[in-house]
Amino acid sequence: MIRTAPAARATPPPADRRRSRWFRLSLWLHRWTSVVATIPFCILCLTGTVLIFHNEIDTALGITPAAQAGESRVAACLQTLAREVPDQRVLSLGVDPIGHPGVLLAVVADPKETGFDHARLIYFNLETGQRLQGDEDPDHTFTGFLLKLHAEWFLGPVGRLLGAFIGLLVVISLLSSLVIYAPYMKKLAFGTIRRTRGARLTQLDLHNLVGAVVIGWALTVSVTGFLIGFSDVAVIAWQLTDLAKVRQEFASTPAVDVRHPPVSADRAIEAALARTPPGWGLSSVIFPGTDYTTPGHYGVLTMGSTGLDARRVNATLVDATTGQVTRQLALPSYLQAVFVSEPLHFGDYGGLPLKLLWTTCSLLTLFIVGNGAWLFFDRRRSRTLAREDLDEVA
Amino acid sequence: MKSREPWLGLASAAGLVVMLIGDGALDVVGLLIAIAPLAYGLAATIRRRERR
Repeated sequence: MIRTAPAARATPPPADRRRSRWFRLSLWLHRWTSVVATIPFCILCLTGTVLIFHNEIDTALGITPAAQAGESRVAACLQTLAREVPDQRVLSLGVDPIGHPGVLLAVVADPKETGFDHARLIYFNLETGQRLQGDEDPDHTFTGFLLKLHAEWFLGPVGRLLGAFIGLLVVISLLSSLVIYAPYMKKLAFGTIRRTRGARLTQLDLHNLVGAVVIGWALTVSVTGFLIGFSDVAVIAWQLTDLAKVRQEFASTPAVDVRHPPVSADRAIEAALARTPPGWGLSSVIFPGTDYTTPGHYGVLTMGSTGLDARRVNATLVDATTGQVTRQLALPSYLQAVFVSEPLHFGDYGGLPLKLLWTTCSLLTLFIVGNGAWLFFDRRRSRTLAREDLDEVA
Repeated sequence: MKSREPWLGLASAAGLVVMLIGDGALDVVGLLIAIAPLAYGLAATIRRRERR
């Protein structure tokens, strides 16, 4: 085989050589991080596009029941709960005034359970206290299946870390694209698609055009996806540090009967809400004797109603024996970062217009992932063909 | 703007954060900023096609 040296390989001046090395490194990173992430990222884009509308899908399928918003009667819901599932304990109660107004979500499990892994959901009409139909295991619903795939790859906490790794690859690919974009586009006006000069140039132009307009959205979603991938780690870190200190401090407080705490949950909620800032409301109440509380305290989580406050969480510890607020816990910044990341990842904070923007960007991103893979393999195919031609000539 | 379009694309991220932090009119402003890169890309494509 005859190997011919490139015609002009003059040594560039130091500054150019440095820039060239930086460009080559970025190009290498862009190509290989993208290739490794292509298939999982395609799956994430496809499942993510459907999950944008998970509330609408669940409601249409009757999985998440709806109710009219009205007066909250948590006590009535708890009475119904005790009557209908007397052999279970309550792990937490939650409300979602925006997504599911008028509905109380109870998480129940076997009395010996302290974690949420083997729990089931039961929905109540907050105004009437009646149980609502549709308390299927969310893991066995269509959107639950997609969420398990999207968030965990069916691998549990390990899968979440895998998702974070994929997010990291995508972030590297996107950041490197900022470096390599300009040289490719130097002699080309933005928006030009060269349709008559071969499929490769057409696809490259489309890749650069679409990539340039969705990069901001893609970076937002991949950085937040990376952070959310560490949510389990963040919660474990909080349990091992801040929560462990609180548990140690209240080690002498007697444990309460987790199925029938002396103070009911609605009284604990009232006590906590009396100490929260104006405009803040209940998000959820975690019962005593779970992995997230002490054996003798309720943990009442409250959220604001507007802007960033609607995504931040405050925790209040309420004594399950006296009903008094024991302490307001400041959640660490890494947990708050995970909470704030969620809306920026799911796009569920701006109504239908934002969901449509999310869908558009998700599908455009899916397109550039696919066409980027085509560009990569087409280039390799062309090189192989060129090498075979050279071999034949030799 | 020559060859700097991806930096405009990053405006989407800023718009999404504005929407998250703000309320009311700021929501609308944030949404407009977020869709600006898409609108710019679409406008540039249409302009190029018309010139051909």
